[in-house]
Amino acid sequence: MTRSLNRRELIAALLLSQALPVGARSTGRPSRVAVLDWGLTSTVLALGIEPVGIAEINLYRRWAAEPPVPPGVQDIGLRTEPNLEVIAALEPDLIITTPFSESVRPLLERIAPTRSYATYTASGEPLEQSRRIMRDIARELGVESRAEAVLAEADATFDAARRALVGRALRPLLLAGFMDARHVRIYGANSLFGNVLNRIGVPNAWDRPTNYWGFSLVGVSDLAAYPDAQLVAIEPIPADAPVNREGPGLWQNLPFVRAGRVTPLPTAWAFGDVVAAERFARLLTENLLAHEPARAS
Amino acid sequence: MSLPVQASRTRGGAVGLAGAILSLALVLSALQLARQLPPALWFQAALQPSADDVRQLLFHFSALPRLMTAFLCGAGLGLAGALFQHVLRNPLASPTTLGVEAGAQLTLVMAAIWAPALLGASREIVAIAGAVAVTALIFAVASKRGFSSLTLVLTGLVVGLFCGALSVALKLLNQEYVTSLFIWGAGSVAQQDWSAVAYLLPRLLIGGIVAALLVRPLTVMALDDASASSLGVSLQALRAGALLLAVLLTAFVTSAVGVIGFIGLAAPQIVRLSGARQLQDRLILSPLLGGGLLVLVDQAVQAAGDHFADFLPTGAVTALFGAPLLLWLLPQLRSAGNDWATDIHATSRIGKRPLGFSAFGGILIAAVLMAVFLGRTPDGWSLAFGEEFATLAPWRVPRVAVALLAGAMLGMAGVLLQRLTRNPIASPEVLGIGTGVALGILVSMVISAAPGRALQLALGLAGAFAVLALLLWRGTRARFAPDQLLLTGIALSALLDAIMVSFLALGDPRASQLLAWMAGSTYRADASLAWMTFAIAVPLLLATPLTSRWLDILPLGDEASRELGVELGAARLVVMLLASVLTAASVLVVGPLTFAGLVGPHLARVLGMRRAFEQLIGAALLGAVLMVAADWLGRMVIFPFQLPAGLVAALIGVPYLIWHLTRRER
Repeated sequence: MTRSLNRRELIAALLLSQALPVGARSTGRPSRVAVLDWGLTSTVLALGIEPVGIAEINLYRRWAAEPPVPPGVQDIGLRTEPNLEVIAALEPDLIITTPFSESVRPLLERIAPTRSYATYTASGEPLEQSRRIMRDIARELGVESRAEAVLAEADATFDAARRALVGRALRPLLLAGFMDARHVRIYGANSLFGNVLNRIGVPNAWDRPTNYWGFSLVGVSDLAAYPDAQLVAIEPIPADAPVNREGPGLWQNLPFVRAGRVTPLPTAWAFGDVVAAERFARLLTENLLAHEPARAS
Repeated sequence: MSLPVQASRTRGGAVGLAGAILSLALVLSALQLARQLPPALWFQAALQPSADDVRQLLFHFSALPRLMTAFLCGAGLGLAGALFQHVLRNPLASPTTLGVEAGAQLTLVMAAIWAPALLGASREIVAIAGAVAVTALIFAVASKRGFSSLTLVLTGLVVGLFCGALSVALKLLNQEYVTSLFIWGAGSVAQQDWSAVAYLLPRLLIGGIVAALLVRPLTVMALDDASASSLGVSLQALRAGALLLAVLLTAFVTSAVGVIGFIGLAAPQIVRLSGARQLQDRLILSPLLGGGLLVLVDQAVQAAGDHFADFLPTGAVTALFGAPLLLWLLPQLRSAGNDWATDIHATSRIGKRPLGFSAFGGILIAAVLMAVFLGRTPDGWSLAFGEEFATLAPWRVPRVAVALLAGAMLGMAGVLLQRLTRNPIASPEVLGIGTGVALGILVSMVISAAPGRALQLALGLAGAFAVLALLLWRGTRARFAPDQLLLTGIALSALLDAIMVSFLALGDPRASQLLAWMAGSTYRADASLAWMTFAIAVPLLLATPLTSRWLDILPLGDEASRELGVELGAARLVVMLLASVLTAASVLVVGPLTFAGLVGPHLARVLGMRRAFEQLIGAALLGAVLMVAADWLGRMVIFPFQLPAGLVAALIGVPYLIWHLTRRER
């Protein structure tokens, strides 16, 4: 471990010495960070580092919500095609991104050393992976202790949720993101949210195979196979979703809908990081406790 | 073309084919339904499902309405397509070619972003508004030229591209809001209540009755214009009415379930190729065949769906089935007598002196200077000189260079294709090469979690060559007849498009990357890519004008070409190869929105460059100007966000083209 670390640092130092004017930075840790992905943005912010540039700040505020982006951070454009001229002008000493950027990596490396982190991998454990990423980024930025604090806080939230929910009459959950009047995205065990359910001891109803990102896109009719489930509708919910519609239809006749086991949940970024997972766990627990009658305690 | 004499002899084939497909669809549906619910319970479940039996609920609210919706949609599109193809006398005419679907999609995207509440209440009305607006625009343009078939199809295609480009731009900038629109764009017929059937049934029935009333006058119209006029039929009113009916049918279907592109093109085509010559037969058989086809596809999708983690959009899958069928039927299509060749010449202004090439060269240089030196930074506008320029140049110069070279190559490719096929709507897109490259890049995303640029370029190139190989294989059998080439290209595009659209509809986060590339971005250009493009482009740009003589002669027709000593097969092969390589080289670096290849040649001709050599050079220069300007605008307008150059080129080029078409007198 130490060995590979040293090598990485050496490479970073070499790159730094090439990329930057001599004397522009001391040998210290990177302090000017540009982040091209929302999940990683959340991780960097949680580590107490204010990035110099973030992609699509306005949409981040609406979809990821936490942690908040401080005012004054430069928007560097689209996540898919961040503005290279702007990033270069910000003179970052580190660029943090995902493997999505691999095709422009040579260009990014010309601006600053670039690190790429994948939350979603073939292992299907995005939560565990995002913990690892938080530690890696913290080491890169020299704030290891802060990472441990954030992770401990997240663990505390998960444990508290687990304790609060244990012994409750919990039904298996369908974690649903409604797409339109007829289609819905269901998060399975391999998704970030699915990992959280597992961590806090809540059963996930969805047992069908999912894609690389841990979800399935299905029609409303596919939900009929889960009469005993409770459905959690993750916001934002489109106006024409069956939840918002009246009139006779399959949705209105689904057993769990007739029994009133459908609850909305405020937004959390499904492709996010530990912070998004913690937010989701907190909101979900509050939601379940509010709607599920406790057993005699 | 439609000789009544032959009808009695050959219609049996068409009836048999439609009947066979319908029965197959019925049998498959019945088997599928029987798996879900014992037939003994069907009657009860259809009328009064027991609320406690999930199987009956699914039968009543999902399976049955889905079956009926699929049939109705297929039938509606089949009828619409038959009307389009008859009225426009163009085997390529379809709801897609006229931009109706793209118009509906654009209004839906706009509503999803700016007025989501509108979608909940009236998704259908939003879509119809777009479809009708686009149609009104097309008709306004066409009425200036007496509803000529050429203008209608050309305008429809152009407006469709424009709406499509705008939709992509909006999706790019608001990705998280419009996932549902990708599903809609892929055409899913999944149902959870009877609302779609209740919506479609009365509308399509009325449409069918109106179509029945139109059969007689439309049959008269099939004779040439002169004799039709002498029979006292008001041609313009008749055409407009029939087209409006087809547009409304398309709008109903697309607003209910989304874009199901292939049925409206394939069903009437198959009916015709299998022997139905009379309009009456085609108007009856096309909807039946279309409905049967869509049900068949949808049943297959449902049967396969159990084995996939991901959902398969039916509309996208129709092309997977339909495109090979069309490829197989094509050799039977006799050349439909091309009346556009004359039109091409009619559109050029006799006696207008061409603007000097030096003027275009000057404009190009000005555009390049602006694109390189003038820009925006987080602090505001700036003219970059000296040291500031030195830091910005590595980002800007390769982009501008790549945009310029790609624009020039597309301009020339457009001229080659339009002259080769004698068809003014032939842009590099119709070859299917862009989609081949896109598919290659998609494959790179599937096989590698982190595809590097080398892998993307290699697989993109492989995709282009695969398409080219197929075009060649098909072409050699028909001696590269223009109609065959166009139809093969379109069928291929549809096939590959289906795969792309499915991927986008799945909401895979990687889709946004693909989308950005599809919108035509110079974003990934660096010095090495620019030099590589330069090395490929320059020999091609120099070699292409050597074909000028062929290009002057080919539009005159096969007879004339042979008389003038042109070896048709060889000439077409060379021209097609050149066009393909030019297209592939540019698509690899700026994406598949090859709009410069449509606008460049048009502009050049409008400006008086009628000879092939002049038009080639002019189109190359104009294409380059368009792409350089588009790249610059894309970087400036919504700074620090960027719009891809290919997209902006469409946004600049189309309004000009439409304006030009509406104002030009006959």
